[in-house]
Formats: sequence, C-alpha cells, structure tokens
Amino acid sequence: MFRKRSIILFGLLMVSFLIIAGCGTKNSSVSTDKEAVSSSALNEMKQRGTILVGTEATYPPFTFKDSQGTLTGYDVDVMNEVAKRMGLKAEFVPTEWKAMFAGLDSKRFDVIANQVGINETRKKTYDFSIPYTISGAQIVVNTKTTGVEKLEDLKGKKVGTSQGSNYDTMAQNAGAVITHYPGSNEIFADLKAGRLDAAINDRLFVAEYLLKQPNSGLKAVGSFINSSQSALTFRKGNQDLVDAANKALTSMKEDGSLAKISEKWFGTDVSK
Amino acid sequence: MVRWLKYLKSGLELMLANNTWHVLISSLPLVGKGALVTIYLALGSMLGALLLGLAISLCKLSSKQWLIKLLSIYVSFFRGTPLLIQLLIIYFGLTSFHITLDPLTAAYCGLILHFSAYISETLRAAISSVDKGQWESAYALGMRKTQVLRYIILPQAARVAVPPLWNSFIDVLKSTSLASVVTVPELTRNIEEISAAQFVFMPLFLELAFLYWIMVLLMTRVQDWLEKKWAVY
Repeated sequence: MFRKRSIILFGLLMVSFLIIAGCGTKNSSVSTDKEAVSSSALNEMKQRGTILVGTEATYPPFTFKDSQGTLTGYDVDVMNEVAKRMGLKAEFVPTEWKAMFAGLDSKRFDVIANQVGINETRKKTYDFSIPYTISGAQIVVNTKTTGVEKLEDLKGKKVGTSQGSNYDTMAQNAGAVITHYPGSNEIFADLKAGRLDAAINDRLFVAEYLLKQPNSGLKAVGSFINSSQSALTFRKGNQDLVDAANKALTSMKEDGSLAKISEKWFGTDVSK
Repeated sequence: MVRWLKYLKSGLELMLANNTWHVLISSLPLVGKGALVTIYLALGSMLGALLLGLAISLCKLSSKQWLIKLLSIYVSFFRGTPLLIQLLIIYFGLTSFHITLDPLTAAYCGLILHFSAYISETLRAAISSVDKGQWESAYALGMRKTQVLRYIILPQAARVAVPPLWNSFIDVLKSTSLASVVTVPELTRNIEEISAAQFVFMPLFLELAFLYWIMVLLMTRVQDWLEKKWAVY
C-alpha cells in the first residue's frame, strides 16, 4: 500500500519539477502577449512614480559606482534624464549581465540601460527605443602583439568575450577560438598576462580604459568595425512605454542635453 | 634562491601596482557594508539550514516509507543541482507564478534549501553513529522515542556532527558570494563593482580572499571552543 503510494508521489513530484522547469520559459512569453492586450505597464509605473532600470554597475564609463558608491555613468545619466522627462524617477537595479535579460523577462525591472546593442535576434524578443549611443567594435591586443589589425586576423586566435554579447558573436563568426569571461576586466587582465591573443570591446570603453590605465600593456588596433547602435531595451508589447521613452530621447537630442551628457563622459557626442 | 626571491618580489610589485593602497583604503566603507550583508546572510542560512536539516534527518527516522522516499528525493534534488541554478530559478523563474521574492529572501531560500540537504545527511550519519545499545537501554528504562532522541541520542550525535557540520557552514559562508547573481549587494559583488570602476583587480581580489579567510578563521575558533566544551575524554 505504502509502496504504491510512494511511487505515485515520486511520479507527481517529478512531473511537477518538469512543469516548473517548462513554465519558466513558456509563461514569460504568454504573459507578455497578455500585456499587449491590457497594456497598462506605463500607467502602472506612473501610479508607482518610478521606472525600474536594470544595469550592470560594473561597466565604466557607462554604468558604474564612483568612489562614494553612487551609481553613475553615461547610461545612468541618460536614463535619469529620460525618466525625468517621462515624469518618473529612475530606480536602478544592479544586475550581472548574464542575468540581465532574465531580469527583464521576469519583470524584475522595466527597462535595461546598459549599452544593449540593437540586433535582429534581440528585436524578435524585445522592443528598442531610438539609439542613444552609436559606436563600433574595437580590437584590443597586447602591446607586444603584431599582425592583428582587422576582424579577419582573429581566425584561429584566442579571443576572450562575455557570453551572449555582440562581440561574442562577432569573434565566433571570425573563426576565433573563444573563451568566455564574466566581465571585460578579467578579459583585459588575461590579455595582459598573454593567455589571450585579442579581445573585442566597445571602442568608447576601450578608449576610456587605455586613458585611465597607461600601464595596461594593451593597445587598440585598426579602425572600429561595424558601427553599432545601443538603445534602451523593453519587454515586447509595451508600445506606450517605448513611445514615451522615444519622445523623451528625441527632445533631449533637440535641446542638446543628450550631447551635453555625452561630452561629459567622452569629450565627444556619441549619440550620433 | 636569491633569484627566486627576486621573482617573488617583482611579482608582488606588479600585483600591487602604483596607487592601489589608496584604492584599498577608499574601498573600505563599501567593503564593510558588503561584509555585513555576507555575515547576516551566512549566519541566517547556517541556522536555517541546520534547523531544516535536523528536521529532515529526524523525519527520516520515521517508519513512514513515503515520507522517507519524499525526503530522499528532496535531498537528491538539492544536493544534485548547482546552487547557482537553484538561485536563478528561485529568483527569476518563480516570478512566472507571481511569486516575486526580494533578492535577500531569494538568497536565503536558495542557501537554506541547498545546504539543508547536505546537513540532513551529516546529521543522519551522526545519529546512526550512536550505538544501537543506547536506544535499547533507553527504551528499557521506559523512555518514549522523542525522549530517547532528546536526552540520549542527539547530545551524543551532536558531538560527532561538529566537524562535518562546520565543513558545511564554511561552505555556506563562501557560497554567499553566489548571491551576487540575484543582485544581493554582498561582499563579492561590492568588490567587483569597485574593481570595475577603479580598474584595480588583483589587490582587491586578494583583499576579498583575505576577508573570507578571516571570517572562516573566526568560525574555526567557534568550532574549537565547541569541540573542547563537548569533549568527553
């Protein structure tokens, strides 16, 4: 009697685990579809008075903590201004990159402000605002390295990337041997130590890094590749929210405040 | 020999390059805040995992086969899957069921569920290490099962359980660093933020390792004290 029951219980438990595992991915897409019908995300935020923003907080000069521990950076400044013009207060949720999209999907926050590059794959799953950064990929090598100038030179070379990043795909397509790292800092450290041949990263990030670290032992080579656009990233089905953010960004472009924020961090206007 | 010392010296100099002392000192307030979160998280999880683990190991003494089976599945699942994945499921996955735990709660849940599975096995082993004759003579004195456990078996088992328990506790402390993935601002996460902003890595990583080590050393002192207190011979 007990034996039979325990077998049934065991079965039920296994089934419920499977259901939990299956729903984790399935439910998110179902609920976003529902949202498109009711579409009250923006109203909800207005009632709350805040917009929750996912950001890494470890990616200077875009999003990082200053020596006092205050979150700052280009993306943070831009997002604060966008939120202000939407009549909201930006509340940042520091999140590791590997959990960033999971966080957006599971409604831990409403938008990602973290130099998310616009690409076709992401467009299928997420909505983007108009871009607020236009940049490109820059190849970085050890100062001792010669003969790596452009993307084609990376074929067969050891290249460090962050899993799931645009640069990851770029290096893979170039035929590089990929090693995944949790962040850019670890990649640059290994590049300096000679365990990697090259890295690809945002040209602005690279410029900032080399400026701050004159003894980094690294150099940027070649011109930057595939100009890319970064934008605020939203869950699908919140058109009113995307429209409101676009309106704010457009007005910031027109009155020059976006250019001003950009000058503060890069000495040049990176928004066009 | 002298050459090796020179290598060591130049290596250390490289690792602790130029303005690092300044960065280490200015990082202290944020590091302190993170360390507090780590300590709270670790102590709470240790206590929770100990209680839950004890409950599980006691339930396994029951004669109900289905209960034992169920708990075996629990232990097998939480011991058989990585803590990182459990945390991700608890924090991000459960929101699909409209269960939205805040970061710290999710971290507590993950750590307690994960380590209670280990600790229940430790305690089960400790309980069964107590000689069968102890049970029999206690029963012969007319004690009920709960009384035997409370007064005869558990005190003896506790003594045996201390060293393996502390192994698990030390593991709990170090595993709190995984809570950074569910956005808990604990020690590791805070140091990562500082190193990313200041472009200083190795000195901060060394500081981090050193801090965990200190905490583990303090825990070992507690273990020594307990073992001495409960020593029989």
